[in-house]
Order: sequence, then C-alpha cells, then structure tokens
Amino acid sequence: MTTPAMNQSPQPVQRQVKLPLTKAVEIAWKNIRMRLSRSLLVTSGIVLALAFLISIQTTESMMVGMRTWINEVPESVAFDRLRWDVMRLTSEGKPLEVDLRNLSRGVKLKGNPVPFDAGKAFGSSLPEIQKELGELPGTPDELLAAFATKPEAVEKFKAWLSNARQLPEARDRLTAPQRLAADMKKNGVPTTPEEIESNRIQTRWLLGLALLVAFVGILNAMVMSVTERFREIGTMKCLGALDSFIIRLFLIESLFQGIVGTVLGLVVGLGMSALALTSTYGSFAWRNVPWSQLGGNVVFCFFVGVALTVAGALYPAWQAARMEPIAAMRVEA
Amino acid sequence: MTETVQPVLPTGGPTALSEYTVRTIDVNRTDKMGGETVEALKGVSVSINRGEYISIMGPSGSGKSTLFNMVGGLDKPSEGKVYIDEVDIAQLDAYELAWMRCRKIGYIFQTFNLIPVMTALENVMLPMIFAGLNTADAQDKAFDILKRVELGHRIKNKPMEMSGGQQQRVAIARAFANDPTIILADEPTGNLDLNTGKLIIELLRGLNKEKGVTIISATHDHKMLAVSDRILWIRDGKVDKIQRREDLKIEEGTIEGAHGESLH
Repeated sequence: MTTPAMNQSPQPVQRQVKLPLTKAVEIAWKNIRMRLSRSLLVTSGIVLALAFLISIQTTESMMVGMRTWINEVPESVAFDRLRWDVMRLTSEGKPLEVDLRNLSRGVKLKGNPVPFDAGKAFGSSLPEIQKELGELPGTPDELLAAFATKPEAVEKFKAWLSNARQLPEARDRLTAPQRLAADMKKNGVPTTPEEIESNRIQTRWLLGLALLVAFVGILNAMVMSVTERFREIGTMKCLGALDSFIIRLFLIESLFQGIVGTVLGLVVGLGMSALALTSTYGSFAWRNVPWSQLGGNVVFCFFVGVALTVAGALYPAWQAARMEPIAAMRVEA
Repeated sequence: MTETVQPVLPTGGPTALSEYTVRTIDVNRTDKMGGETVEALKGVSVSINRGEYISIMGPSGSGKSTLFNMVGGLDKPSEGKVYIDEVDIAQLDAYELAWMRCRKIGYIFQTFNLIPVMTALENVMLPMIFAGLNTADAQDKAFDILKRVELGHRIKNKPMEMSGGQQQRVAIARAFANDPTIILADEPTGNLDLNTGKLIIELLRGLNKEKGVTIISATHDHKMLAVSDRILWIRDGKVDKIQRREDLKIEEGTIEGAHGESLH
C-alpha cells in the first residue's frame, strides 16, 4: 500500500494547499447537524431578535398603509356612494335622480346628470354590467363614454347600483375609514406627524437595543463553541488545517445558522404581527397592505440577521484560527 | 502552491539522505511565566534515527512535553536548531509548517481526538483531504488503512459509538493517512485499559516495522517502553540518559530509572 519511508529521500517542504470552499461547507454543515442543541441556542437568539425586528417593521408599514387608506378614499368607493344615495332617496320616498358626478368626488364630469329609475332598479348585477361595459370601475369619463355608445347599458348599470342586498354593504364600506380611524385612536396609535415621528425614534432605540442584545448573545454562544472545541481545532491544525480554513469553517457555520435563524425569525415575526393586527383591526388590516414595502423590509431584515450572525462569529473564528496545534495535546476537557 | 523550499541542511551536515529523521542541536527553551523566566530545556541535543521507535520519559515539569512538542513541529525553540527530515523548522512559515504537519508527521493523542461529528472513515480521510487528495481516492485509501487496523467493519461509525481502543485505532489510521515519516504519539495508551493498551502498542510496533516510520512517543506505560528501541530520559530540561532496549531491566512491570528510583 505504501513504500516504507526509510528508503525515501527527504521530500522538499512545500506550501500547504488551500482547500476548496466546498470542503469547509461540508464540514461546517456536519458540525451544525451534530451539535444541533448548541446550534439551536445560537439560532434561537437570532430568531427572537429577527422576529422582533420584522414584526415592528411590519406593524409600522401596515399602520402607514391603514392611515393612507383612511385619508384616500379608493376609487371603488365612488360606486358605494352612488348606491348609498340610491338607498337614501328610496327610503325618503323621493324620486331617484342620482348624479353620476358622485362616481368620483372632486373629478369634474363632462356629461349631464343621468336620471335613475328606482322602479326598474332590481334584478341585474355587476358581472352583467361588466359584460356590457367592459371593466368596472373605470374612470367616470370612460363610464360616461360607454353609456353614450350603449344607452341600454345605462339601465343595467342603474339596476346594479340599486341592488337591494348590496346597499347596506355599500354603507358599511363607506363608513369604514371613519370606523378604522376611531379604532386606531382607541388603541392609542399615533396619528399626528409629531406623534408618529417621536414614536418612530422610540422604536428605533428599542430595536437597536434588541439587536445589540442578540449580537452579544451570538458572540457569547460562538465564543463558547470555540472554547468547547479547542482540542478539535488543535487536532485539525495538527492534521494540516490552515488558519484560513478554520476561519472559514466557523464563518460558514455561522452563515448557516444566520440564514436558518433569520428565515425562522422572519416567519415567526411576520406571522405574529399579522395575527396581532388582524385581531385588533380585523379585515381593516388587510385593506391597503404596502406589499412592496413589506418585501423591502423582509430583504432588509434578512441581510441584517445574517450579517449580525456572521459579525458575531468573526472574533471567535479569529480566536479559533489563532489556536496553536498544541491545544490538541491538552488532556483536561 | 507548487513552490518548494529546499531542505535546509545543517552546516557541515551530510548532503545525502540523513540517517536521522529528527535532530535537535543545543535546543534551549525559555518561557515567561508570571514575570519569571522558566527554562524548560537547557541545551538538548538528540538525534532520532530513521525508522526508530523511541520513547521520551521524564517526570512532569522535566521539559519532556516541550521537547516532545518540538520534535513534532508543534513548538519552536528559543535557541538552537530543530531539524525534521533535515529541514530547520524555525525557517518554515505557517503554510510550510501546515504542509509538514499534514504530510510528514502523524499525531496520536492520549484523548484520541477524533473529530466527533465525523465517521471513522471521514476522520481518516480528513488529513488526505487537507493534503489535496480527491474524495474518491481518499475514501479508498482510508478504507485500506482502516482495514489494516482491523476496523474495516466500523467505517460508518462515529467516535461516540466506538470503544476507546477502537477510537485509538481510528486515530492511528488517521495518523498514517498521508504516509508520514514520523509518528508522534502522546501517551497513546494513557486512556486505555491494560489489554487494549497492549493491542495498541502491538499495532504501533507492527506499523513501525512494516512502514519503516519513526515513532516518537511520550509515555509512562512500561509495556510501551518495553518495545521501544531507545528510551530518552529527560530531567530538569536536560537529557539525563539514553537507554537501548537491550540495556533495559524490566522486572514485573517496573523499570529502574537511572538513579535507581522507581518511576511510578
């Protein structure tokens, strides 16, 4: 199998080769799997910190979305307003004459008022109107243009507007912003710009502290895992591991933990904030979700979480790399 | 990666292959401990023959461990020279030292020091991987060596699932992974019972004969001393005496020291 060393001439000393990254990844992965409880300890700190971070950011973003929703009545509400008018006039026994200008408050219409006939109002529904006119709601201009070319559609539109079952729903929808504003006020959510700003500063402090605590926790857990493994590290060095390999090993290990912990933390944090907001504001929470901002938050938090973990592992990794191979000889555990 | 450093030959030394694997010349080692200077070694010159089985003996604090670490390339002298395979280790940088530890020296520890997260096979493969061998070749070679230490049936087991003797045999297989010139064994039987220790010693002695590798061990185990070609006694940082096996008086597991005192 081998030639006896006795007959070999001394081989000139060479420089140890750097191992490909995959080897370090492989060994680091094994380490995490085998030392699951230790890994979970490090990971749980990241999970908590990131859950906290993302839930605060999510709540903040969703609140902004809800405030915006209160202040800007969405386009679809214009139809509800028309319906409400229909209901009010009918209950007062007045002849139904609704101004299509109500379709969009503040938007000036070119056409004339369209009379509504309550007697023929029932029976039709939105899909039929849509079939007749194309997409609804369009802009009031488009709607009027459509009416001009298809007079028979006006009747169906009127019927849709005054569908009895949908009238109370329309009223609920119309009053929703006021109800939400009242809810938010009741819950002590800051509403004025000054309040919002001071609240934001407070949260930033809290977040900074939480991340600092998490960082110290990670650092501590990593330092412990290095001290625990002094003999293993010393042995690897005796077997020919370079300092850079040991550093890589610990950094990759922390990278794995960082990714897993951060993803878990994001899932937990998003879930918790979604649950909390839904239980407080019901479906209001989901009326105007700023999805792109939430996506941005998730990406930001992911990088913060991973960077925090790897940063926490830098010093311990350096400490491990500096460990002398003699450490392998120490007998005490 | 391919650049090489030619062996640094000692001044006036032989140009051909030396008969010595390790030589120390007037090695001193001083350490600062709590502001006090401690002399661990005071002018030690020893030459270890190629293929020799040598044991280093000495009470704790004698400098035995320091010398042992030095001949194993784990420590550098404060003064004097240490040559391993005719290379002055003080001249080597970190990369060359790592290469040397990987290829030229195999380490065996009292506490076995297997990597707990790896199987027996992976443990033996590790130094080969560090030496740049590809996985398939390393697997084949590691399997062969494990068969040699009679652990061919336990290659998939983790250290925790093996007895002390089995773990030490894996460690021996790992030490031989890159066909080293020197095996450095630190109390290899220290954590094993009598019979297991005996088997380990026989295995080491067998491999020593078979592969012509130099085995240097630090030990208190009399069974180990009994198979040594020479025993190097260290006392107060100096070489006290060097005994050949033929000169040993072994009586019922005790060895008489140079000064007639028992070494237990």
